[in-house]
Amino acid sequence: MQHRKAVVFLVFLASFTIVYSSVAFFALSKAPAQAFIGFGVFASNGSLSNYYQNSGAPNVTIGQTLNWHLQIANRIGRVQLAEIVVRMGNLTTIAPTQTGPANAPDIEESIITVPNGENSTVNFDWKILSVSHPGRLTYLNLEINGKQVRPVVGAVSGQGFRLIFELWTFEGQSGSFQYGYLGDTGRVGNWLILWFNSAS
Amino acid sequence: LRLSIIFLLLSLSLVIFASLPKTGSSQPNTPATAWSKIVEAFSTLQTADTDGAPHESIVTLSNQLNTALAYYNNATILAAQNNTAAADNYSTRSLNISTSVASEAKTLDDTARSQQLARQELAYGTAFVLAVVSAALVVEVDRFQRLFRKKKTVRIERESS
Repeated sequence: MQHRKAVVFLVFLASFTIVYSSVAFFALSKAPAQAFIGFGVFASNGSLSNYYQNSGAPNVTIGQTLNWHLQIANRIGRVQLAEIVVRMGNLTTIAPTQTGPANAPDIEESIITVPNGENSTVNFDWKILSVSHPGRLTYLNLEINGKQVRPVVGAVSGQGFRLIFELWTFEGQSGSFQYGYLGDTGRVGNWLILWFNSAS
Repeated sequence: LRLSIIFLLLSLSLVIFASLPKTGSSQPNTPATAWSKIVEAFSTLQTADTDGAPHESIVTLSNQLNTALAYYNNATILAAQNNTAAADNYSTRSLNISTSVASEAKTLDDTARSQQLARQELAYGTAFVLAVVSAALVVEVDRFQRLFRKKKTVRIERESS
């Protein structure tokens, strides 16, 4: 009788241990949430429009300073080391995709640490210093965040330039920045494109 | 003889001095060393964050790391302009901040890990104790029923007498 009771006790003990341990595991676990990084380019007035401070075409005149803000919202679940790669493209540039960056040359890079649940902002102040027309194409001489940059990409009559902003994140395994960020199902590309014309 | 002894002692002290480990090396801190320290600090900070370090501390250390990144950025610009002295100066500033961040992040991580372990011990320990009590209650339920019935009978007999 005592032996039977001991067996019953052990069976119940195992069952209750499983049930209560599951409750403990649930209580200790973090609430599930979709991991993502938001990425936005804001105009100088803080809006997502009127980037060129005029109501018409996206024309940028020589010497016109544009103060944009690149914002990264980290909702991955842990602190991230993010890099914003800025590229200069034209009409024929192959745009970034979900899996890979654009084929345009990069003209500016900014690295910033973004804690989880926080937004970090990087300033992007730029202007066209001068334009040149060595052939059929128009080339720009830019100033970005106080640095002079001469992109090797030109555009016909200065029309159809584009600034491509790509988000890269630091990956500990490779010890380098990788395109996009590591989401729930793999790497996710994150980019923004703003078109403009050089109006001289 | 005296001269040769002095010469021997001088030579010996010179050899000992030369073989001493060099502390406070005067090697300059380049942007590359500053960057590797930033990476190390970030990795430690990310580990601390994953292990459940307080959010406010992570935000504070992230801001400090951003200052180190700004100094590193200045260092790379100056190095590109061949201004080595200024570049090394900014690299050293960046390196100092990153070293401090890495050290504080390591402490945070250790604390977070021990707190996490204590929480797990408490939760699973409580779960096991509750399981023992529950299993005992189920197995001994008839004994408790008999005990309660007996007490009830005694009370009724006492009230009726």
